[in-house]
Amino acid sequence: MWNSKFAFAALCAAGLAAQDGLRVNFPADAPIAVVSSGWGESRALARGGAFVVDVRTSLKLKNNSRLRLRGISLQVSSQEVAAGGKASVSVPSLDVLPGQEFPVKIDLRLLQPNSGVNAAVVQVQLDGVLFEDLSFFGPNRLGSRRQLTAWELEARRDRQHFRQILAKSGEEGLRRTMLDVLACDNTRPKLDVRLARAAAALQNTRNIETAFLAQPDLPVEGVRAVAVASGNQLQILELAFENRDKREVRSIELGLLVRDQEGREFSAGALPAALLMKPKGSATVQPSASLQLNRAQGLPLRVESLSGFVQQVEFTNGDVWVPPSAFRDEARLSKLIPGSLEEQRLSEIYRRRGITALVEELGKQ
Amino acid sequence: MRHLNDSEAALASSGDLSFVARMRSRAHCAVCSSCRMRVEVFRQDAERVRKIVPDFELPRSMDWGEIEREMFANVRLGLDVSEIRTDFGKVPERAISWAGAVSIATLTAIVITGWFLAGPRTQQYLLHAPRAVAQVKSGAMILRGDENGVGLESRGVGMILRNAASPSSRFEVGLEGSVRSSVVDQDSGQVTVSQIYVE
Repeated sequence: MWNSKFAFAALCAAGLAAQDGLRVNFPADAPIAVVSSGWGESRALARGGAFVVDVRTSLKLKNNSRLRLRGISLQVSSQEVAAGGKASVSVPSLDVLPGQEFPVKIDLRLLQPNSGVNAAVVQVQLDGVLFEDLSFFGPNRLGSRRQLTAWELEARRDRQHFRQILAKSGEEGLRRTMLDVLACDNTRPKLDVRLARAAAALQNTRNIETAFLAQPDLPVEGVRAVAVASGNQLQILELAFENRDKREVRSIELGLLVRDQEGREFSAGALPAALLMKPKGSATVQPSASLQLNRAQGLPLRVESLSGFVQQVEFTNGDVWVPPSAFRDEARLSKLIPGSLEEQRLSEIYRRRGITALVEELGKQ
Repeated sequence: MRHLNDSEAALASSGDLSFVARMRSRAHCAVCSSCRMRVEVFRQDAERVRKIVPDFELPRSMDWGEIEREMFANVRLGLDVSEIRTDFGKVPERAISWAGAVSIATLTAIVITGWFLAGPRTQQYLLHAPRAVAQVKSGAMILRGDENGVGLESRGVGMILRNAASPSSRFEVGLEGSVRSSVVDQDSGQVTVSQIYVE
């Protein structure tokens, strides 16, 4: 047994050294090229009846297009250890000039049984890249086009918002705003959310109040929601939407807020839904999942009401809508809903490098 | 009057001199601009360090747990070696019978073999430590997000996309069956989004 363990560990190590374990496949006509790839700091450890393989790798990629690159999404998969599941690593808020190289780090831990003889093979494939003019390239198997476009629009919106604060209130105003952002991030009430797909009907359920938040210039409006709860379990039975826009809708993403019996509110995740809606048409969604909600201390949260707000709309022509920055400016929502990824990045620049670095960053294109 | 040496100037800047030495240094600095300036330079340096230190973070490759384990392993190795050296050439006393020793050895072998065959639950190793803040269950597959990253596990095999830089504080469960976390890499400044989905 020990021999087989050591043989397998040696095989893993040999596999890692030979870089056979990582396969990076980009389409031949991709505007992004792989400059270098391979296992970085990697090691294999025996743990009881399994082997744990830690892989830290950094892909070096190059922008071969004529446009600035704004975001990239890679699909990471392994038939040996992750059959039935998919993973992705995305890097939004990039600004990579034509011809410039940039890194994408992938830090993986694989758990595989020691009975096999083959080390796991990790496939890294391009799912999509987004450029400055919002053009997209890639197979889009994971819906990266919608996601990268939405993140880029949110980034532009938030950068503009912070630039306006800088112009109006100077560095001191921007500093106060960043401190508020960091404070909200730290104090935002957190929930432990467990979701069971294809869940059985809950016992002893009660209907709970549902509502959609009023939002300005909303292209898709929620018109009906039916949800039941039992203790700390929540099941959304049906959601109905109407398309107020002239464009055909392909999908939406709904943010969810729950309120407990003491009136406290929490963000409880999001519901992305493929929802084909003709202009001025309507559609319904029946999510087949139940949520179990606990507070951070492990205390069950008794759900009293559910609110939804539209946080993304994707149209069939490729356009994406995100809420204006004014939507989250309301004190109640800014305390509940996490900011955009760009806000997270900018606040981190402020936290680590100070106001001068942030002002410099906002000055970039 | 004797000038302050470097040690005295440094201690004077932080107020760590003894009472008599402090009085002497103050009296000297009152009349000696050179020493006064040196004390002030030490004080400014200390101030700069104090400002920098709260922001200082160790490189991500620095694994204190691993360093600690290696240190303890080395200490144990040293103790074992010293024990061997002490016993070298001595004939050990027989404390138990041969039959007893064989029984204990057999029992130990069975326990160790059993432990390795059954092992600790692999799921616990993959999904250890911090409590999940986001979890999706779909049949035998569990998707999970915590401060270490997001991962999926099914029947003893699995994969975690770990946060390369710092613990993630942002998670989102997608009701279609996904868990997403985002973190800002301290090395590159890039924001990285890791997501796991059920197919």
